[in-house]
Amino acid sequence: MDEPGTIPEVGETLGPLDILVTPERVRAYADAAHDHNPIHLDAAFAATTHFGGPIAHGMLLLAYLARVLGERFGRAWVENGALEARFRGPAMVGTSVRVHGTVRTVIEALDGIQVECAMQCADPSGQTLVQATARVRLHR
Amino acid sequence: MDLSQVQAGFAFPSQTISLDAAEVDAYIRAVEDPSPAYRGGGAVVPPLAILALAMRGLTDLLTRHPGSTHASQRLTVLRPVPVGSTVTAELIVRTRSERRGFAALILEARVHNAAGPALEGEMLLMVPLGDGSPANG
Repeated sequence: MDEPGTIPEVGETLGPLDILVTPERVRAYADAAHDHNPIHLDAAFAATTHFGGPIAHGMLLLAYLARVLGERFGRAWVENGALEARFRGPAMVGTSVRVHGTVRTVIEALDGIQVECAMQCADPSGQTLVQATARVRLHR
Repeated sequence: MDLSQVQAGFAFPSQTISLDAAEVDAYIRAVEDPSPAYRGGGAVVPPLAILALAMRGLTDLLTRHPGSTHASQRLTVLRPVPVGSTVTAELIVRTRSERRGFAALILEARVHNAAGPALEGEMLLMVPLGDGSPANG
């Protein structure tokens, strides 16, 4: 992975980041985000749902995407980043997810270098759970 | 309050959120984000932490609407927010439609601090009309 601040090239890969979605991680996120929906935390309740068990917060998966973007683009990501994400499926607690991306476009503009990335979070079978487009403006 | 019946233009009560070091530290520990941008001198708040906390009232409400799903999310950072800042978050229902037993709500989040607008977000929530199965948030 390149250092933050270097100019990316189209096709450059971001990540991967592999994370096991444990109950402890989901609990920690629930506490930090103040989101204690039982679908994430209560196994008995979640077992009665059409998911069949607890699922990770969608916003936790986005945080993992943001982590990959922050590792590549550094402070630019937190200063001017943008993300458009669609949730395609649930991340079951107890399974792992893989976050990765690809630089799609790099455009020189008056106010910096506009970078667009295709991002994905997938389950171990490769099924897409989150599909996203991220944009960030890098200073020259 | 029946979230599935809120209409376009409905504004949730605005929230004032203190983004102190303890709150931010809990978040970056939970998501295990090692970025130096969130630590030390000049630390800023992770944008998704701001958005998550801005949605706090909404997530409380969603626990009472089993079967709701968070279908999409947009986020645009307009300016970095330093750790220790206080922000104000506004959440407005931009559009409402009905699709196959669900209310499709597009909600817009706007967050600003003393320096001005800091973050914009938009989410699509599908909320069951009447009884449904469990929430996915």
